Amino acid sequence: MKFTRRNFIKLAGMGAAMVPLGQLGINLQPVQAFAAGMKIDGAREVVSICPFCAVTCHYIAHVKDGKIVSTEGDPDYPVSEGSLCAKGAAQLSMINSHHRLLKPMYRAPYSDHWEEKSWDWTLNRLARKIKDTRDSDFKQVNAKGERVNRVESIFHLGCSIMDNEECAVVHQAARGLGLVHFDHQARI
Amino acid sequence: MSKERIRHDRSVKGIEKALKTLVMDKPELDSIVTAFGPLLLAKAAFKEECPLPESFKTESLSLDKNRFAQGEPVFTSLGLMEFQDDFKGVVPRLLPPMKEAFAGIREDLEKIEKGFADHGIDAGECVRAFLNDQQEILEKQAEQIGASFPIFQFVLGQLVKPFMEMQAEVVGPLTEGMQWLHGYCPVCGSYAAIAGLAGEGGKRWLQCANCNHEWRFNRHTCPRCNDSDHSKHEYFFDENSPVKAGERVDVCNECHSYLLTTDLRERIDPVNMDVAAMGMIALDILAQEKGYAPLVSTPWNSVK
Repeated sequence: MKFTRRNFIKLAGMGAAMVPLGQLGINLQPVQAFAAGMKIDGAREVVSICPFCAVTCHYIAHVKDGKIVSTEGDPDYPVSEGSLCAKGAAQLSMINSHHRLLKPMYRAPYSDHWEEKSWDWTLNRLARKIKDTRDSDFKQVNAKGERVNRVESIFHLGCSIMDNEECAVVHQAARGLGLVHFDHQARI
Repeated sequence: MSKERIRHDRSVKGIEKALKTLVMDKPELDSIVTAFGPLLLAKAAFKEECPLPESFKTESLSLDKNRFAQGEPVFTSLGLMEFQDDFKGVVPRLLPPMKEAFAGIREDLEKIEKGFADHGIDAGECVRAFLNDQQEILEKQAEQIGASFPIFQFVLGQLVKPFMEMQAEVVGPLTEGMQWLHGYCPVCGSYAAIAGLAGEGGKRWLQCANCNHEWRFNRHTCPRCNDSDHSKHEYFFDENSPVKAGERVDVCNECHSYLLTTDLRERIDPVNMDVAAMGMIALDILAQEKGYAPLVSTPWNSVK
């Protein structure tokens, strides 16, 4: 009993041959009354990426009214197929932790308290400090008089979320500044 | 890995147990279970008592992998085994429970039963016409026995289903290990009636409404329109339910379709997915009231 390509679509439509429950003579009133009394809740599933390491496991965030109410591994992510490590499994508590910083905080020299700063202020401040340190400590030659063109007073540590390509770019930027001390968190 | 898949119980005993539990947990479903339970049991009993001939099971079946990769379901390339002779056997088994359960169409069912018994309907021609969607032939047959045409079609769908299921069980393994990214069944091409989440992370398995084959499908893609924009997808559940979001309805706001989903990760016993779907009819009602349509009509989700 062979089918043509068109027939399979028709075959798939077999399910359409249904009769409404009311016409079948089935009393739907009890279940309709139950459905009307249900307390409906709901959420969206949003796929996000675990920030802890370079494996970048996907996880599903269940989002309700703009807030994450639960998290779980994403079964469709091919690397981990829904599994999460202890850190990734604790994603929800990290997101909702009262210790979590949501804005840059700054403590001025000799100050006894932290103050909130904008990202623009923070990035400019970092850039200024790096440039000043680099300019003041830049060594063109070493003790033997050999040309080295380097900065020894800055250490750069990449975070574990950085992948190979990002590390390559950061490596070039650090080299461009003359940094010789840098590493990546995944190695330590 | 078995832990990663749905563990089914499609036996008569398993269905009996599942139905009993369902009525105890959800007494409001009594009329639904009383109507469809005996039909499910009769289908399962038929499959247990009249299995496919061994020759079919051992026949070397070779799947056209190129056509499959292009999205063509197995039945399209392999065809269906001829089952006209066995079809006569299913009529006396399924029509009595249907007559008992569906008082509203009993008169038509009696005419159909008589039509098959008196050879007023040629079973072979009827099955062939149904599977090839030859409406004129079916209409003529329905007219010949004086039955309503839509009810005749509905009955044929129910009578053919056990054969689809049995053949899907045989050819389904041919698709193992082959990629299938479509929202319709890789075996018969129909849409799913229900999804189950199983294994770590809750892998989504869709169960075909037509042949009961199940296949893995991306959790964040709509099986109907293939949309994967999460902002258009959401799910609802009954907060008063003891399983909370363990029974939910996933909706797509792109194509306005919905799919029932049961989370089986906490479940110890095997499940019967037909009974599970039947047990979620309140969510069917809710989704349809919200303006969503099921991926596919099933006997118990045609609530309007």
